[in-house]
Amino acid sequence: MSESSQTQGQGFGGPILACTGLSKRYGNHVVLQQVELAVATGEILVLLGENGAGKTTLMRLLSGELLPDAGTIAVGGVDLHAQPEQARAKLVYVSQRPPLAPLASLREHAQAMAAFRQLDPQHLASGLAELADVFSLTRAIDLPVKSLSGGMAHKAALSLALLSGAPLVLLDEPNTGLDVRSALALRQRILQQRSAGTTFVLASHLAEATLAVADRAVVVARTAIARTFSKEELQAFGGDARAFERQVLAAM
Amino acid sequence: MNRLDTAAAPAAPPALVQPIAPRWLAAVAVAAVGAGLWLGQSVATAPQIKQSDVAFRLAALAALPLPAILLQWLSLPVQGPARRWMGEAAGAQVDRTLAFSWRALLAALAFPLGLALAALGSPQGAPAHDAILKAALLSGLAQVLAHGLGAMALLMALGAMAGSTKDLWQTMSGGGAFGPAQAAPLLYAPAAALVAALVPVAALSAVWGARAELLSVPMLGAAVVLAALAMGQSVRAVRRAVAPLLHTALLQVEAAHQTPFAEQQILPQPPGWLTWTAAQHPAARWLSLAWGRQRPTSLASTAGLAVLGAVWATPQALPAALAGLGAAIGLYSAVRAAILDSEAALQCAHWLGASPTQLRAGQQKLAVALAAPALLAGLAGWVAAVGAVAGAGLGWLLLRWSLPRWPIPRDRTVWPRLALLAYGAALAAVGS
Repeated sequence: MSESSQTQGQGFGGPILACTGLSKRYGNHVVLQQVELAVATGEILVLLGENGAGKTTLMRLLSGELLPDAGTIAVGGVDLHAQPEQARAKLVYVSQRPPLAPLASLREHAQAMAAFRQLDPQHLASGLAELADVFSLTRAIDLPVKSLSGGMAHKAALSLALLSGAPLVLLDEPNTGLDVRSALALRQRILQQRSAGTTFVLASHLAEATLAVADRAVVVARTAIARTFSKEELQAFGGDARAFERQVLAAM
Repeated sequence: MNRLDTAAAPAAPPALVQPIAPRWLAAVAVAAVGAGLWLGQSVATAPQIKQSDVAFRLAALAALPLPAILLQWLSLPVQGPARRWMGEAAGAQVDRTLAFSWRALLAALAFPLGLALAALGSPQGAPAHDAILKAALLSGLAQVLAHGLGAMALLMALGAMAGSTKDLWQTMSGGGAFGPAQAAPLLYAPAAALVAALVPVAALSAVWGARAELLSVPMLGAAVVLAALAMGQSVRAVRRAVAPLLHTALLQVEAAHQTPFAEQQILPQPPGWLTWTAAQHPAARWLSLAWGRQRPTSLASTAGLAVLGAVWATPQALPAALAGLGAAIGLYSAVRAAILDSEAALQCAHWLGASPTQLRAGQQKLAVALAAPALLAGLAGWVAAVGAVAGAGLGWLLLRWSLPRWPIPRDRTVWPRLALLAYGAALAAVGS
């Protein structure tokens, strides 16, 4: 039985993301049907589910990359489809294959982002240097993205997203291809930015990582949100990833 | 011996291995016959040999790019790993390229064929009858030689690559400090092919210029046939000689493709005029950066078009008409490249936070910046100026039609292409 996750996380600000009646199908294949979801400002929400359950579709809908067949999405109170430019300025989405320009370097991407998003170039440059150090990207910062390994390119995209200044950050499988050190650094950085008010929606398969960062977790299954784990419920697992996995599997 | 060179591998699907679809080659051949016929008829009644001279030189110049494009295609290992993964042998990959080369040669020979048909159709006693026939045969000879030597240059370059090392590539590239990864393979095969193709064209051009009257039609006809046979045999012999090396060679090409750029961290900047034009516009600046890196040869060809237009300033109708058509094509191509080929850069810019409005304005600014040098072709005369304006108009139409929706649907570029073809036909009619 599916349940609504319209109720946002407790103890956070007003909703930065709210979607109602969200439905999407590819041909005859219904991926999502009547999904209700709200995410509060400063919350970390994790989407869980099997491969093909619709997590990535949901992320793409939330980012404005895909148009829903039905339903509405509001980002910071702005309708994503009625005012896409204004709404999209409030979010950044890192897919599993982020569309970086292959012949430009990470630094050049950051410079362009500063111009597009009207960020302080000096501040961004120092932030980039710091993140490059954290993610072991310092030597790669002036290389074309094309010459980076898959994991390095993914870290480059994550760095840009974290530096974008967007109040809502959507990350699809952020740990894919990351080494242990970088995965831990990413986790730390997410928690740090959350404290500063940034909202994160993550799609993940990793129970341990979910327990470590999530304020709330929802299981996407059978075209809907099948189960929601509140902050208290997540804390109740006490870091026991196996017990959490069992409950997630039961919900799928 | 390497298994991949000898094993009976399953054939890869045609879509994966075709460099250019056969229908495009057929279209090129038909267009080339038409162009040859038109040019032949235009010069058939000329009292002097001068215009046949133009015909020959154009046909000979047309022979040059194809081997270079072909070799560059093979030396850029875009599909190499996919082909290997599917089990295609290195030898088969090279053979497909060579087979394509011969088909492309046939398409290219359509131009001198059209010229010859025009000559045969003109009155026997016409002053330029023999001259046109000779020009047709001589340009055919130039193309046969250019293709044969280009193919041999490719095979020998691959043979040399099989035994080369990373140190050698870095020495060749002056320590590896040169442009983008795409520039790396330019060092060997395509450059060798260009030189190889240039030699017969230059030599035959000199012979034609000095002693055109002394050349007989039967002698030239025999020379074309003999050259085709000799080139075919020579290419086959070289292919046999390098067969055991091909697999290693293709791997080396792929490795060379990655090496200098990855290690030297050199990222070329777009040319000054583009940077200057886009200075105050972040989206245009980003697109010019991406465009300059993705299409470094487009920069050269755009600048080359401007130089050509300036140098070819002439009151004669034919060269001016050709310059006009060139200007139209150049402008349209530049605008189209800016719009379509920067799609990845557009998506990235959008991802980085650029709004569709910013991107649209950036594209328009970049298109105008790219069009500026091609407009210089208008110096070649009023017909060329009309051509430049028409090309700009077509580019503008493309912008208007393509940009309201994003991402850009490629099929919507068909109409400007057709309009360009119609314009070329109209210009040809005016020129004749």
